[in-house]
Amino acid sequence: MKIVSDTVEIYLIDLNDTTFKITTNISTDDLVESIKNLGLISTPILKRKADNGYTVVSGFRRVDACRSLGWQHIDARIICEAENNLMCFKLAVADNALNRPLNMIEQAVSISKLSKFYADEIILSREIKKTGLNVNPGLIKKLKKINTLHNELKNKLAAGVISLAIGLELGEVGHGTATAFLQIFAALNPTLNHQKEMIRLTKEISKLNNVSMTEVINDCHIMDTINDPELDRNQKIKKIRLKLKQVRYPEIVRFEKNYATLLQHIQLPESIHLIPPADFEGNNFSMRLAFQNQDQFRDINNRLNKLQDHPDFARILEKEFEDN
Amino acid sequence: MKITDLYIDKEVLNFKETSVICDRLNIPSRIINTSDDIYRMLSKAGSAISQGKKTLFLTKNKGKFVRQCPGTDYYTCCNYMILHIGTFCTMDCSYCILQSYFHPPLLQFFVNHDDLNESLDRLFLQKKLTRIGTGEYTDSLIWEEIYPFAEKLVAKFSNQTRTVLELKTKTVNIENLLSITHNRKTIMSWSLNTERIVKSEERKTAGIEQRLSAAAKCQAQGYPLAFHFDPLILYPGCEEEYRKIIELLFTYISADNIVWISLGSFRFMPALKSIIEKRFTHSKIVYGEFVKGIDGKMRYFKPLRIRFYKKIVSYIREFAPDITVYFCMEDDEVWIKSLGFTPSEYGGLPMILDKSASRHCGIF
Repeated sequence: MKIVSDTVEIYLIDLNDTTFKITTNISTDDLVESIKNLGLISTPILKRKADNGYTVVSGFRRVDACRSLGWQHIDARIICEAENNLMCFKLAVADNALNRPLNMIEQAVSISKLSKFYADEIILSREIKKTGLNVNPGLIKKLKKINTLHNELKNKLAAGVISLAIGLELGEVGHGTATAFLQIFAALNPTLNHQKEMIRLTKEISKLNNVSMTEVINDCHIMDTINDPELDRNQKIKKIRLKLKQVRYPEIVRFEKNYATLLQHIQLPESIHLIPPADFEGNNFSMRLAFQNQDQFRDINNRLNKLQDHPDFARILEKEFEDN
Repeated sequence: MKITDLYIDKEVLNFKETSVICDRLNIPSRIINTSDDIYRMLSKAGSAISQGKKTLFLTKNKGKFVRQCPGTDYYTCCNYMILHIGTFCTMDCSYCILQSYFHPPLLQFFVNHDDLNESLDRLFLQKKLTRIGTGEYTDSLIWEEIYPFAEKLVAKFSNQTRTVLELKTKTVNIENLLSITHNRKTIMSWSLNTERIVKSEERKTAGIEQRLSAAAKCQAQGYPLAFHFDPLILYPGCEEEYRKIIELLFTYISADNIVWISLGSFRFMPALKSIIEKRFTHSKIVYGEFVKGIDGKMRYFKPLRIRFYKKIVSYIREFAPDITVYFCMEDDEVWIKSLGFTPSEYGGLPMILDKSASRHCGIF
């Protein structure tokens, strides 16, 4: 590819032609300040057009910043009109990716533009790696889906407010529901696992009960919980998760509640911790005993001796507490 | 059976079975050296599972024809043996484990039947009772449309007295079997479910009454029968609907002719969930109250299973108090709370089933 350095008249550069644009950031404030003090350090890359104008391959913000500083001319690297677009796309990606990490949306845009030339994701992954963007074929599949997301989600992804996994999950639900979840996550900042769990439970309740996800959010009073001044952030997250679980798994929650009630009946001291089988699937209960000396051990032993004949302890071990 | 793509392993090109199948299908075929080509093609297909149900690969079983059913340690297994005649299925049940069991799933029919016969001959020489079935990795009778295979098996099993063959199906492809000698060494068995589940989750299968009618025809020809309520699926109103099916079963079939009835609640490897969600968008079966079982499969919360099994057992007992009912892959707690005993009290589940097979099929 032949690139020549030249000085061009800035008004000939068409900033509305976004054929090669990758950058999501449109603010030029930082660049204007830098160029004013240090000059244009890295020249933009332009492609000559048939009408003697120029398309920006890389450097939209730089050209825009120079314009706002009142420059009439700008130094640039010029690609001739005949050069194929694939090379220009690669240059656009490389010029950005080698200078800074690209955000999710920029990576998705890069993939979208280059996938027109490489249908096979393995080959695309290999080729795009040469431009400094390291994305495996699995990630390429996900990044392609980003392009179908609505702008609010794209903006949150670009800003790093939500993860790619959550962005894609929310991309599959209605706009209103996605917005509601964005509000919940912004208000509570739950862990990624808790975010996934809230979306999954809501989605499954919606499918089970033939209601919309928004209705599930309303019926579970999630927004009321978020706005409850009596609760701190962790309590709110816990309450929302429990409510969703209660609706999604009513029998399991009821069973666990009855177990907790029986556990209270047998009044175990803090030094004796009874551990039921995971999800009550297996049959082995276990105990953790905490003691520091023989006296404490003797106390525990006495408590265990009393426990062995306690009818509620027998019910716990038999898992017979359905109708408690 | 609608096959759109037929591949033939070069090694089986001249087998007589291959020739019969090609004549019956009468579609263009491709001869290949390795199955990798098919797997690559299927992997690239947008809906690999659906494509796999229309793509048939005639090949050799290069492993064992007779193998142990892959049970797990914790849950009680019946020590069933599998006669591995082929893979996958042309019917399309949402809950089918085979969708995620083979990568990618593909209809394979093993045509090296001389090897299969040798394996069976060796099995028949063993001095122990064996229960063996072809319905683990495929449906036992889907292949009848392209190759009359079951009748050969029935005939072969009829000439020995140690092993019982179970042909397990959701089809009604029994016509070839009605007029042949079986000596009660083949158990004809059907999976049963509620009308609602058959309609919503079991695409391209025969209806319940059709299945029972086919079973009745087999009964009339003296075949011993078995029925499998597996998977039992919980949904609002399910108890009454399962009761209706059990009632229907006993209007068609005499309890005396039933060797066993198995019960198994819906369970699945976690990977199957997304497949069901994607391929059966209206299905709700994966949204039950599941927990991860000790074998890693998702299972209904145990108290729910027990409560439901108790009901189903009581419905069966109303019609057939002495029939052999067993659980597929459950633990002692489920057995004792649902059936009132553990298998070990009767020598273990294999012994219970062997005795029933012995009583009904005359194996010894």
